[in-house]
Order: sequence, then C-alpha cells, then structure tokens
Amino acid sequence: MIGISATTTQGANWRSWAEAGFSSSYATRSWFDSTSAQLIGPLGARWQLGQHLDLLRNDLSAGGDVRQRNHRLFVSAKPYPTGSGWTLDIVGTDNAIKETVDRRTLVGKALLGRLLNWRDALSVHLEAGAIASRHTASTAERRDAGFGHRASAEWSTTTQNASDILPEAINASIRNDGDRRDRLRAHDTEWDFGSNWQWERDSLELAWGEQWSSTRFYPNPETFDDVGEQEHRRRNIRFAWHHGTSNNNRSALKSLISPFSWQVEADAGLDRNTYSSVTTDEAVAALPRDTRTTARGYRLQTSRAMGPIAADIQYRYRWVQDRFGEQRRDQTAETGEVEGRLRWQVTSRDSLTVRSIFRVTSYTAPGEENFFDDRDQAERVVEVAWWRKVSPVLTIRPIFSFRGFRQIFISEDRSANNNTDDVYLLAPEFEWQPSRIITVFERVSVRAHYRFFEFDRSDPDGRGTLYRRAESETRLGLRQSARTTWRLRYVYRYEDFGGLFDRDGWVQSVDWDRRSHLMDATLEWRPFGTLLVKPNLGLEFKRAFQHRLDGTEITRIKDEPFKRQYIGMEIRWTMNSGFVLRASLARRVQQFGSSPKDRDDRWNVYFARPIP
Amino acid sequence: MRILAVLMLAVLSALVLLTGCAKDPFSTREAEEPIGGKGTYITPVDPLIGLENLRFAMIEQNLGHYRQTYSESLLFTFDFLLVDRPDSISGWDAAEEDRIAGNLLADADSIGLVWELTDGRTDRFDDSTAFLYRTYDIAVVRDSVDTVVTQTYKGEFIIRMERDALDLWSIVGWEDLHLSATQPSWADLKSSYR
Repeated sequence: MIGISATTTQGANWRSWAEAGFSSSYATRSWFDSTSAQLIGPLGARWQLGQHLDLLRNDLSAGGDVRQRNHRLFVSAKPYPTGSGWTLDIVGTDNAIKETVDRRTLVGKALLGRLLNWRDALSVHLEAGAIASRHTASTAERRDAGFGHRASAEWSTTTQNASDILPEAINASIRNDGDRRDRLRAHDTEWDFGSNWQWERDSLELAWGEQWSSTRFYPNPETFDDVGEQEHRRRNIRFAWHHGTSNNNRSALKSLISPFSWQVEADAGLDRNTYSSVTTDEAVAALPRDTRTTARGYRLQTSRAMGPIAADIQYRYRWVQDRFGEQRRDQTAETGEVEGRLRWQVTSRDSLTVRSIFRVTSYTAPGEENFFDDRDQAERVVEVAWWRKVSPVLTIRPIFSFRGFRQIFISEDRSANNNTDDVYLLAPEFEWQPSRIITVFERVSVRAHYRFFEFDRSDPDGRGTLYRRAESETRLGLRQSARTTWRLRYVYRYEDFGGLFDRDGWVQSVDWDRRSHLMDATLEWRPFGTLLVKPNLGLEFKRAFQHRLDGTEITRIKDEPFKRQYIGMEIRWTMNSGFVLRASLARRVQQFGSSPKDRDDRWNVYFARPIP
Repeated sequence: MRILAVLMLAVLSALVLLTGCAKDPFSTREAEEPIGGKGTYITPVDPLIGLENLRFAMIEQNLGHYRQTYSESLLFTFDFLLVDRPDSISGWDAAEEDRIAGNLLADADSIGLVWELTDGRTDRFDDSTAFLYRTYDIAVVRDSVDTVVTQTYKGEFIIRMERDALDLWSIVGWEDLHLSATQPSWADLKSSYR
C-alpha cells in the first residue's frame, strides 16, 4: 500500500486536510484521495470545499487472458459558505465492468440547499436539484433525467430539571429523499426517536426507528426493457435499563438486592422487502423474492463485587423469524444463552479468571415438508486462566479451556449426521526477564479435538475423528545495545489425525502424523534515532508420515517433505516534522518434495507528511 | 420513584411471562432414530479437506455441514449479477449466507457439483492462510408437478481459508467470477434465494 495523509491548521482562518493512497492485493488495485478545505472569511462567513475520489480497478486473468476489469469512480464536492446557511452538493459516480460483460452506469447529481437552525435545538435542511443517469450495456443504452430532493430535520433537547417522568435528553430526526427520472424513481423516508432518563443510580433509554422506501430499477442490466419496483420497510425498537449498586437500604429485601447492579435490555425489529413489476409480466420471474424478517430479544445481567471477587451472570434471549414469500424455506431461530464470569484476586501475586457459556439455538420450520431441517445447536464453553507473578522477573500463566459444539437434527432423514465437537486445550506459558537485556518467553499448548457422530460412535468404520496437536513456542529477546535488539523464535509442532470410535473408552486409529519446525530471526537496528532498519529471516520444515495397516502391523510411510524460506527487510524513517516513510520488501520460496519451487515477492511503501 | 422504569420493567416481565419468551440454554430436543444416509464431513485440519466438505455439503444438501465450512467473518463477493437489484451490492456476510444456503439447500431436489483447479493457477498455502482457485460446474434439479427443470451454473471462485482458534480451517473470503456474460454463476444461484 502507498498512502499519503496530512492535516494542517493555518491560523484561525484556514484549515485543510488531505489524504491519498494506493493499495494492491491479488488483482485488485485501488486508488483514493480525499481533500477538504475550509476558509473563514473576515465577516464570519465560512466556505468549505471537499472532494473525494475512489477508483478501483480489478484485473482478473486466467491463462494470460484478462477476464474482467472493474473500475469505480466517486467524486463529491461541497463548495458552500457554511455561515450563510446555503449548501451545494455535487456528486458523480461511474461504475464499469469490462471484458466478460460491458456495463457502465454513470450518475450525476447537483442539489442546492438551505440549512435552517432554531435555538440550537431544531435544524432543518432542504435541498432540491437535478439528477441524470446513463446505463450502458453491450447492445443497449438507457438515459434518464429528472429532479431530486432531500429534506431532513433534527431535533434534540436536554432538560436541566428532569423529573421522574420527563426525560433528560430527547432527540428525533426525520429524513425524506427522493428523485424522479424518466422511468426510474426512488423514495425513502426514515424517522428515529430516542430518549434518555437519568436518576441517581438508574438510567433508562428508549428508542424507536422506522423506514419506508421504494425504488424503481432495471432488473435486466443488459436490455433495460423492464422496470421492477422494490418496497422496503424497517422498524427497530430498543429499551435499556441500568441500575447501579447502593449501600443505603433499610428493608430486608432491598438490602439483599441492592449490592448487585442490574441491566435489562430489550429490542424488536422488522425488515421487509417486496418486489413487483411496473412494466410487463415477464419481468416478475426475474425479480428477487420477497423477504420478511422479524426479530426480538432481551438481555438480563446482574453483577456484584465482593472484596477480591467480582462476578457477573447474564441471560440472553433472541427470536428471529425469516419468511421468503412462496419459498419452502421459512424458518424460526430461537436462542437462549447463559454466561457467567468470575474474577478472583487470590493474593497480590495470584489471580484466577473463570468464564462459562451455555447456549442452545433451535431452528424450526413452519411446514411439515421442511421438518427434515429442524435442528438444535448446543454450545458449551469453559475457560479457566490462572495468573501468577512468581517474582518481579518471572510470570506464569496456565490456561485451560473446553469448547463443545453439538448439532442435533431432529428428523430421521438427517439425524444420522448428529455430531459433537469437543475441544480441550491446556496451555501453560511463562515469561522470564533475568536481566535488562534478555527476555525469555515459553508457551506449551496441548490440544485434542474429538469429533464423533452420535449414532455411529461405537462403529470402527464410523466417521468419528481425533485431531491432536502439541506445540512449543520459544521466544528470546536480546538487547545488545540501546540501538540494537535481536529477536529469535523457534516453534516445534506435532500433529496427528485419525479415526475415533468408542470401545469402552475412546480408541484412535492414526491416519497421519506430521512434525513442523519454524525458526525466524529479526534484527531491530537504529543507526540513528529516527531510522529503523529491520531485516528478517525465516525457515520452516515439515515432515509428514502416512500410517498404513499391513496385516496386524502399522507402517509409517514418509510423505514428501515441505520447506519454506523467507527473507524480508523493513525500513522506517520518522522525522520530527511529522514526515514518515515506511518501506518493506519480502521474498518467500517454498517447495513440496521435488515439485517446482514456488516464489512470491511482496513490497509495500507508505509515505505521509503534513501539508506545509 | 422511578415510575416509568418500573412500569416498563413490569410490561417487559409480563410480555416474557405471557409469550413464553425464554429458552432453556441447557437442554435440546430429542432426535429421531436415523433412516437417512450419512453425510460426509471430515474435521477440516487441512484447507483441502475444508474445501471437500463444502462440495459434499452442497451435493448432500446438508445445511449443518455447509454452515461449518465458513467462519463468522465470511465475506462472499462477486463480479456482477445477471439479474440486478436496486440495492446494488458486491457481496454479503456470513449471516446472509446462512439464510441463502438455508433456502437453496431446502428448495433444490438435487444438486450436482464438480470442480477442478483453474487453468494457470496454483493453490497457495501459508502457515495459517490458503488461497484455493477452482473452476466449477453446478447442476440444480427442481421437480414440479409436471416437469423436471435442470439449471446449470458455471464460473470460477477464489477461496481464502484461515486456520481458526480451534486449529481448523474455514472459509473467510469467497470471490465468485463469471465465465461469460450469459452463463449464470454460483453468485446468481445464491442471489436468486436472497
């Protein structure tokens, strides 16, 4: 990526900001730049000019032929005297896809507006202007022109003497956008309302939002013969109550409840899309399907701190219903979840953290014909981490975790696939800094992943598997001088994988095992304060063995070895004036056995400086 | 007294009690004894196993297995669609993919899927990332009362897989590309179930 970023403040009357960049990955290259300048005139008049360009080019090729080329251009400018209340928005977009298809859409819009404010509480913005578009395909072209408008109003107020009934803050907004071109038109109305109450130890939040929109569009982007219409409806409602702890309660019930803090949140929503054809009936078949999603949920949480122990527990509930018009695949998902967390500062040097989650999601279809996909998913998580600072220079931290996932299809058609995934992890780690110049970090992790299918767990030909992995990571930091630091890392990894079945206890039949060695070394050298030079060298070996059963003997057959080497260099130069230059180069070479070497080169340059 | 908060809490509690808006997070439903065929899913300890799981999940129309092939952070993108929509988008996330897959796998009567390494490409594997390039051919059969309709979808994809926290490989990036201006691709198939 190449990027330039700059900001500057020129006295009190002149502010400017600029950013530009280029990035490249795979076959996508994108350029962007954005500038903004504001001038404050002698009589308080303010002028603002902004511009934003976003250009993306995607060259996808196979076998040497360019298969696709995209570019996207977006330019906007806002030249207006902000103090006067007048606004002017000029926006242009250009979207093109070339090679595989030849499509281009150009849209230009200019809106002149007036901004009105009343006592800093109510602001109204009215805009109107012209809009034109051109859709081009290989054999057809369509031009549409017309006018557009945008109206928005925002109202917000705060109450100094809020009572139990009156909220402390209220904000509301309403927006209406629309345009009407020859055969195309769009209309979008949205309003949101929010309110907030604050008391001594409580807060209450209520919010409500609605949106309606309808858009006419060309479903067939090659001919533009037909016009479809999409209507969209959205509704969101949210409620949240927070209650803090109290130490001043007289009744027995209050003294029991008050040390806890409580949170209650609830929300509900609706999202609906319907499609219809404006012109011919044939277009209906090509239109997307109608969709409707309704959702509701809530969360209850309570927490308490008791000296060195802090604990909280919460329950979450979520219900989502999807409806797809005449589709067979309607579905309702319902989730219940309990999560508990405990943190115990055992001594000044020891602390213990425990976290546990239990969650079940049930998917249910309304029709008998879809019963085959009804299923439950159950998840269980237990994490225990102990942190001990043995001495000022030595810290140890053993971690244990368990994650279980169970999928249960209810119907006999699918229940043969009911399976359980259980993953156990034990990972002790320690960090030792025997002197100011040496830091040693060691982490050992052992992981076992059991997967079994519930109806064939005892079958030696079943589909159960066990994956085991043990890894040791050693990091060594050597500070040779104030300007030179060495960082060395070595990772050894053992993995094996094979069938798993239950015969009075789990039995594993190993299919393969492999051993990996990863080594890398990095030097951080600062020849002078503002320059950092960072070369890096890495090496990786992998040896794998297949296990074959010959009669009663198991033989290990060596696979082709894998080798990877990489070398890189990074230079970072930071000057007091804010000038930053960062450049990196990396080469990676890898090879499987006797296959040809695969080489990959990457480079990055980044540059930033303020505008003088 | 905080009349409004108490009132709202009372209304919420009443709704929870009256509508049964609660779910037991500890128990699941009982499954029926299986008569259906076993699906194919192998623990994805290698990116190529993960890719095969995707193919079998499609062919066997197994939504549960399909869902396990990609991560929560999946981003599915495409070059263009043959049928346009007003909300012109270039892709969707895992939640949308869940909905689409649920519709598609339930609606089709059978699905055929074959793929091969894309000409001029080689798969790229790093320690925790892999890029896989395939050219595919999908046949979707739908039975109606008096006819059987088979539709084909052809294209290319570039799948980026990553090793997750459990050391298993899952799809995080999926870019779908058309072969021609008239041949529908996987993205068109999926989009018709949005």
